[in-house]
Amino acid sequence: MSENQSNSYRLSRRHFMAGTTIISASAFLAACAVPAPAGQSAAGDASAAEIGWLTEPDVAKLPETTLRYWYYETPERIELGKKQEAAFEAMYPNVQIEGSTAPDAVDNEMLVAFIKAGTNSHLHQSVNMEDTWYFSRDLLLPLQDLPGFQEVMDKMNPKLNYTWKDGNVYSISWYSGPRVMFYNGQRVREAGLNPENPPETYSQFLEWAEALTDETHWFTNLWTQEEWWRWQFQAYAFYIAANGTNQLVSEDGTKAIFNTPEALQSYQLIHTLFAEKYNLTETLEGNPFLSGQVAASLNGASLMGTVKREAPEGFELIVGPIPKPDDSKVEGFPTYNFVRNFAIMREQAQEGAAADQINRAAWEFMKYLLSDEQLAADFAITGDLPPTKDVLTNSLFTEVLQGLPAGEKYASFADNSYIYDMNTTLGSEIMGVLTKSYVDMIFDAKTPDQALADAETEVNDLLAKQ
Amino acid sequence: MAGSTLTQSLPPRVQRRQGQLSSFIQHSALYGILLLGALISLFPFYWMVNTSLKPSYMIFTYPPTMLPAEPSLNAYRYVWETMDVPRSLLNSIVVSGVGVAINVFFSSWVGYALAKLHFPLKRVLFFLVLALMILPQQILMIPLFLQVNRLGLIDTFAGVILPYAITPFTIYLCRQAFLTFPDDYVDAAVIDGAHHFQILLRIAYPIAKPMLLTAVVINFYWSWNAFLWPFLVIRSDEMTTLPIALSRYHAFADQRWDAIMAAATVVALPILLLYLAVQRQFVDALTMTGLKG
Amino acid sequence: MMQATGTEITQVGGLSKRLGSVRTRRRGKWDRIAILLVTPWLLQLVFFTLYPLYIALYGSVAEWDILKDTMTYIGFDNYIKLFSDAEFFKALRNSFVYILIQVPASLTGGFFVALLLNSSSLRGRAFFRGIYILPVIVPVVVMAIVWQWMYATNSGVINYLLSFLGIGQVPWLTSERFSMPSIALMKVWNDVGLYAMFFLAGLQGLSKDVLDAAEVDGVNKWQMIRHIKLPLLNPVVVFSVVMGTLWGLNIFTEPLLMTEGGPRGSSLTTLLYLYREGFIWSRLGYANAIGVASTLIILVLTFVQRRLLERSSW
Repeated sequence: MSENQSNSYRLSRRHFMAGTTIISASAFLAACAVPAPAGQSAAGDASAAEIGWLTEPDVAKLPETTLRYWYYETPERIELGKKQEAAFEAMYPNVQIEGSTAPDAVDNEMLVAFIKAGTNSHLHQSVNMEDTWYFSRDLLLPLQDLPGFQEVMDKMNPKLNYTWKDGNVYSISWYSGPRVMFYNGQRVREAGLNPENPPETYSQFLEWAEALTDETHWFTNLWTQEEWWRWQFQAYAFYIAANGTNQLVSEDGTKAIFNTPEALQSYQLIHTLFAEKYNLTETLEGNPFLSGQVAASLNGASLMGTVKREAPEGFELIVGPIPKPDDSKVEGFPTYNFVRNFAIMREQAQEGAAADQINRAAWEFMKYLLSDEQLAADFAITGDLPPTKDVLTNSLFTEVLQGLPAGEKYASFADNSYIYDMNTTLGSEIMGVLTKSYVDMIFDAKTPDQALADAETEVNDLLAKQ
Repeated sequence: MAGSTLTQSLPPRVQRRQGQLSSFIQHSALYGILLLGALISLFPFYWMVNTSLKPSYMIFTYPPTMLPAEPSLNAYRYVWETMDVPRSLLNSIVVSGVGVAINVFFSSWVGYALAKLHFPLKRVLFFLVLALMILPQQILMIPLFLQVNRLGLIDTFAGVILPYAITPFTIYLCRQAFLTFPDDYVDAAVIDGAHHFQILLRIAYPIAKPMLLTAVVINFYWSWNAFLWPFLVIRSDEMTTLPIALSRYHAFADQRWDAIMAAATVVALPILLLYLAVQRQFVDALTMTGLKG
Repeated sequence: MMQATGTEITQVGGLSKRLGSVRTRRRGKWDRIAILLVTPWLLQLVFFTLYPLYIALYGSVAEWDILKDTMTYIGFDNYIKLFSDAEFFKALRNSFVYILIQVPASLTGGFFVALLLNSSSLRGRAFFRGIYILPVIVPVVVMAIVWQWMYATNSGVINYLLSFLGIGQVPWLTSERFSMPSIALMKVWNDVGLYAMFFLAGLQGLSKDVLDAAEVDGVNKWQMIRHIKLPLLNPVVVFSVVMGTLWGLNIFTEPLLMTEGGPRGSSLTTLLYLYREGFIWSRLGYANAIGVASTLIILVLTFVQRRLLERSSW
């Protein structure tokens, strides 16, 4: 009897062990829902290696290709992205696009995780100063030698695109928006000011500020948060208007040159806005511009769409330039233009011809997204300006412009606008320093000249360490 | 009841009345304070639901209304359309369910070994368990992320569960649980020819069931509410758990507080319902962490 | 042969008592099965704790390149930089402000509530207990977001209610002075219930004999609490203070969601700073150094605290 019992015990144990191992192993495998890297379609064989897919003019000749695309984050663009994907696949049945929604807040670190996993988008939506991180690690495909490149570039506003120091063009502008001052026409009238004549100089600007501020109303609502990217949306426009240039760093990328008297004037203006309480350090809740709590807004293209959709009846949107110092010798009204680009992230998982065909297909898709019709479609649903030279004359675009409040006046500022300084690869880090100086100044922890001087020292240190 | 000496000098009848009066005051004060505290505890919940039922143009009106003048479920409808609630709920269930199962199961192995077996370095291992319990997350955050990245587990269930699959605290709990019965039981079973896995299954688990249940509850609770690690590892909308989905929604919906509050309510609901269902075990579990620590 | 089930234990136990413990008789031998039992945990440890720990230490003195997966030794530069980093010290200072407010307040509140709940004359104890612990049940994210909304300066309900007391609009989360204390206040509200549970369990576990003896000796209520109950609850107090501090130094979610580090870094914590440096700026070596340094500080603090509290007599 005991023999049998021992046997059964021993078998039992083995079963137990086996069972546990199997269960754990399968649980592990089941939980490992790692998506298989895309692009592993019928890979090119040796003969395909002789054909240079990258310079192939006709994409229809490519073998079966799969590329990945992340629709840009907002709901409207996700919808449009799906349509564009379907339309492109219809044009080129040999190209499959795996579209998905871009994950949230993917910064450099995160993106590398996706790149390594082979799940990142081949068409990357970027901003020029962020490109530097990618192309210094050889992640971007230079575009200038690709078929049809010149055609695309010819229609783009050259000020909104850049060629890097090594002669390569790594990205092309997709949508843009110059920064301007928007005003609430109703409140302007009530204050006895002339809405046809928005302020152009600092003293006019401050005059308006005083007239439009009282117990429960303020003039502007400039941001006071510290994320590194905020400076470009607030102080940079004033900097460019005052200096007439977007240069922050010397051309050879070794010295900070932003600490100019004009820059100081722009900082002093901003400081005055806060010191005189024309602008609160508090962030007002809701949308204070729409509700009338704030009479002016330093903003970009998206505001027009917001006003159209959400503003109360009778809301009058006025557009004015970014003011310049009273004694300014700068011509016209230059301003900052926030531009988002398309860049191609090279295919990493494969090499040679197989990678080339994917990159080529991605380029074709990019050209499609940058075609006038697609730019107009994007413009229509988001209000972000196409970055083209003909934005005021192309009927596809003017049609949309006319549907937006103050659309044409706004678009007229695009011509004299600049993207962020591209004299160094440390653009983002420099902006971080500048944002901090700006916030320090607003909260009165430093005087404007101190803030600029300290920022200059810090940036010079950063540049020296390169 | 020990009264003051003053009271004790009064005649018994008056003393009794005094006693009754002071007792009444004490009673009212007791309930009064507790009720006040309860109201304070509940107020944010109430405010969350209140805001979620307001139509969106009313959320910023001042003074804020205590009850929505025109209650509307618009916010919930909006949340349903823009946030993938079922998906997040499912993910949370999977992550927590699988995580707890793995945790308690394998922790019990170690706990049993530490409690009932003899082997070299046993003390060292136990010390390791204790030390790991207080190791701050700071030092591991980045390397752990990179390690998980290298293993290709970013944005996968495995990536969320594995690094914290077996927690030292659970091991500790299991060990405590298995210490409650004498070694004799184990010895006797060994003599009978049983192997330790059987002992674990047939003796240890049944005896330690209450404690193990506590471990399950506390782990589920911890896993369900976990934020930091899932926040780093989960990248896509398909894989988010409820807390992460809510934080994303908070960023996405910007100033639409009615929608954000509705989303918060929806996220809070499952665990609250679970709590109501197993209130006893929950409180016991939470208390246990305080006592056994 | 007897099956080793729970109900038949006594018979089996008797047997072993006669034979003496089998295992202690076999000197020098140990249970090899233990290897198997601890293996899963050890595997996880090695992969997900020990190796990353090594990386953290080595990575803090190296330059990381995540794409090429290389680390090149650069010496203690990161630590030197950390030593003169105003942001890091700001984060440390903020953490200390936070625990100095949050830990004593929530412990005191919890203890007080526990005393009330422990009253013999109380009915509906379970009901109250259930309510006080509600904030602890829901995810931190939920409460952080709700409180952020309640703390809103112009349209928040807290300022609205305060206006009845004649107090003006307090910039809870948007001023440098109040951002960290506001977060601390929220967590005090959150954790009172938790500590109340700990203390209540402790109080209910106090030996009745001791308490009765004291009462007979004529000790009044206040003295009872101060000199008898509290000292007897020392283990609970120590645990609560130590863990409370540990948790408090590690907060991440609340500042992230409520203030993003606050106006000018006034609600930045070390974990948040680490996240920013590592995940937003990709300065991995530096972030590792932050992690190592702050962990050391926390551990030292924990040990010192434990020593002090365990030795102190109330």
